Amino acid sequence: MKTTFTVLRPQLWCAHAGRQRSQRLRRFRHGLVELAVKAFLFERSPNAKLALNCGASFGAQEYLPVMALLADGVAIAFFSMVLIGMTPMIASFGQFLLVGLHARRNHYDRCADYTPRVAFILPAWNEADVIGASIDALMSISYPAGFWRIFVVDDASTDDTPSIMRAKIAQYPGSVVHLRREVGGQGKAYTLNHGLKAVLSDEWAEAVMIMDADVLFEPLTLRRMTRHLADPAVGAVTAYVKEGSEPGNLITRSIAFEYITAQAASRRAQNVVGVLACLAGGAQLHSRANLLAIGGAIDTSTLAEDTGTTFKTQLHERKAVFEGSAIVWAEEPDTLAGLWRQRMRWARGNLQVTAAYRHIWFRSQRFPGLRGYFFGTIWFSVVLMPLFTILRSIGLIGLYVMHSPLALAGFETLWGGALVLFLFETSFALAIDPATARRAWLPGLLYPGMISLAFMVLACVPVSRLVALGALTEPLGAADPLHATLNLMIFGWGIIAIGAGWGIYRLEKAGCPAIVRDLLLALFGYGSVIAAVSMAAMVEHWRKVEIPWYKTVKTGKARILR
Amino acid sequence: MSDAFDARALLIVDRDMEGRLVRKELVVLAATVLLAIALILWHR
Repeated sequence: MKTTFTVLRPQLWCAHAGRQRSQRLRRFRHGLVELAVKAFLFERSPNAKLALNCGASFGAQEYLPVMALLADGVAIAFFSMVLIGMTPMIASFGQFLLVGLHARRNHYDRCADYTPRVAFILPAWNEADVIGASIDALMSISYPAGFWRIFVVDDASTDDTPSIMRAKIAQYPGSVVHLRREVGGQGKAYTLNHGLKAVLSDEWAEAVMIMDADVLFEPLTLRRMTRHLADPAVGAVTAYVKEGSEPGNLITRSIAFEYITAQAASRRAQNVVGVLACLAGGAQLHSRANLLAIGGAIDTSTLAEDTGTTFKTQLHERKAVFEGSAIVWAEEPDTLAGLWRQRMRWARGNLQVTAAYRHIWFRSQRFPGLRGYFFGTIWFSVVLMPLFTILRSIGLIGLYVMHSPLALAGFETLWGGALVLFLFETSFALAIDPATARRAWLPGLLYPGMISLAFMVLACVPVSRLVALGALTEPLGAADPLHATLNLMIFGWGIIAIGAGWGIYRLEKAGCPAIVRDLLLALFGYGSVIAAVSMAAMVEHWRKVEIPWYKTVKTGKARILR
Repeated sequence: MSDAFDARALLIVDRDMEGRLVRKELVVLAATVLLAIALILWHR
């Protein structure tokens, strides 16, 4: 009997509980719909909490606790969206914190005086404006005589590239080789593979430098890179690519600052944890063994061929190392149209890499490697950056619409945190590379845009002052339409900034004067354009839009700036 | 293969540079922490 009782009793209880649960669920659903209607129809409720209003409005006082609980849950969900949306900020801060550890955790202990025979491969598609200067700079490096050769892979150029190559071959006999493809335009990876096939077909090259045709090497850069290859565990080394356009403008200077954060800082941090996101396409040195291990060719299935090569190198259990003192100079886009094309290619390429290596993400709780949580977090913080921005904006708007006290807390957490992290990262970035800081400190300060900077300052004003100012705390229903719109714009600024970034790009395409473009960039921030490109890339990737190979136009403006 | 170039000296220079970065970071971090504390106190 006891057994029967213990079996039956739970069944009876379950049936009863099930009825109660379904009733509660019905009420709950009813309340949820009501809450949504109230919230999204912007019910004028200046004096009461939304939950109480919702419960009272359909005359069921017994629902009030449920409605209050529901409102709390929704508010916590929105606040969580704000916090999750801050992931890229926290990931970036974490990387900056690790930079200092690079003095202790680096690869210098395993470096040696090692000068292998190096083949430089320069893919060139109509590079007459830059190829001569690049070869001259390469022929001026400090390296044992006869231990480096330059292979220019001419991708069926139709400009003066072939004649310049003839002149350079005559000027540097035995050191410069001209490889010509008769059919070109397929992209950098195909061009590189043409060169790699030739270089790896004989035993001369012990290491291969993959670079861009416009990149200028400083005299000691190659030595600083080859010393890491003395350690056979290292497969590839990348240099610090600096923006060297002279004369520059707001866009090139913004890129110069961006490269401090994205390379000089981030890649040092990645050295510390032993995993690298990307070997710069402008200067990546591979050991011959590494190239053969990854198949002797560059992956042509992605637009981010440099990132693909980086992943393959590390997945073949070889290290990829960033050498921050090895500096090369490159010309970067000086228009938003050029920047958009370049970043669209990078962002689409990164999405292709993300999908191609979907089996590796967040696989290991252990610290190092592509499969680790650290790398997964920083990777997706970059690749999905606009989605995080949108998420936190939706969270803030939701809290504001609900008139939750968490709205102001979320606003202060987000923008106050942004101010502190911005000041730390910008100051430290400028200190990491003082030479670039002298040219790019203002674009660095304006990187988020003046409007975002104003919000950061506003968030740090104590609540009592905000109340006195009548800003942000007034409930949506109570505010006049202009005030309510303004408040919504402030809370949803992340989304607006992404739209503005796209708008500035379109304005420039429509022929807007450079001064107006620069003024808008200062207001909305260079960062908003980068976020807009990433967002557009995601949309195109999702819609499976074909993307042709975009070549970044180089005009020979790059200089070695000291 | 090695030549007359003093690779060791170059390594020392680059290591020193990394060491200077630590000191810079500590200064900037200390200033940031002070700022954050000041902001929190102002809020209270």
